[in-house]
Amino acid sequence: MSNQSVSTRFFETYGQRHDVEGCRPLFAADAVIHSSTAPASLDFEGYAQIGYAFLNGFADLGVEILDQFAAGDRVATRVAWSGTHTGELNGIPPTGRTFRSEAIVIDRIVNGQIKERWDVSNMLSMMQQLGVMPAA
Amino acid sequence: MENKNVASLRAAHDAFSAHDFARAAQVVAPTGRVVDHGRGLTANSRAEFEVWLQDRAAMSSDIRIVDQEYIAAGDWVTARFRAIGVQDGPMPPFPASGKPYSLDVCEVWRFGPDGLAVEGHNYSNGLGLLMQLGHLSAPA
Repeated sequence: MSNQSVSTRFFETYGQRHDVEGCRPLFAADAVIHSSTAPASLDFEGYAQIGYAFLNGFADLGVEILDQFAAGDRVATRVAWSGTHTGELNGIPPTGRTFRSEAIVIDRIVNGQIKERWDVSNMLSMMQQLGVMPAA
Repeated sequence: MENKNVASLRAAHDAFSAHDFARAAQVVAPTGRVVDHGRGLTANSRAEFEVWLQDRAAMSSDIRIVDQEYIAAGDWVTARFRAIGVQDGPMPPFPASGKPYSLDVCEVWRFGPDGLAVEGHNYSNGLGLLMQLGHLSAPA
C-alpha cells in the first residue's frame, strides 16, 4: 500500500464508514498525533476517543478529500468535514445545526503505518456554525 | 539543494518574522488567491494578502514563525509551523490580552511556473488561540 493510500484509507474508514477500530491498523503502535482538537499530543487510544465523540455528536459525519499529495515519507491531505449536530458533543447538547469545515492533515508514514500526524482543524468555525461560540 | 518553491516560501516566512510584510507578500502572484480558513477570509491579490500580514502584527507586535517544516510535491508546498508572540494589540472583536500564545499553523501553496504562488490555504487552530488568550472558555 502506498503512503498516500494509507492516509486515504483513514478518511474512508473513519470519515465514510465510521469505523474507529478499523483505523487502528493504520497507525503504528507508538504513533503520536498532534491534533488541534486536543491540548496535548495523543496516542491512538486518545485519538480514537475524539473520533467516538465526533461520531456521537454527528451521526452523519462525512469527509471529502479536496487535495492530497505525497513527498518522501509525508502525505498532506486537505479535507472538508461536515455533519449535522444530532447528538451530544463533549457536553454540548445537540443543536440540529449543520457544519462544513476544512482541515489539513499531514502524516509521516513508516513501514505502511502512520507514525506521526499533524491535524489542524478549524474548530472555531465549526463551533460558530453550531451556534455555541460567538461569531467574530 | 532546496526546492525553489520551498526556498521562496521559507524566505516569505522569514520576512514575515522580520515584519517586512511587503517582502513577505512577494511570494504571491499579483492576482494570487489566498484563503485563511481560520478566520474565514479570502485575499484575492498580493496587495490584499499584504494587508492580512499587517493585521497579524497589529494584533501581536512580536509575532514570528518558528519550527517550520516544508514538504514539496510538484507544484505544491505544505508548510507546518508555529506562530508565537504576545497579543498586545486588538484582535476584533477582542481587546489586547497581554498574553502569550503559540498557534499551530499548516499552509498549502500551489506555485506557478514563474515561481509565484497562485493559490494558498492557511489553516490554524483559532479556537485554541482564543482560549489561550482568555477570550473564550472551553465548551462545557
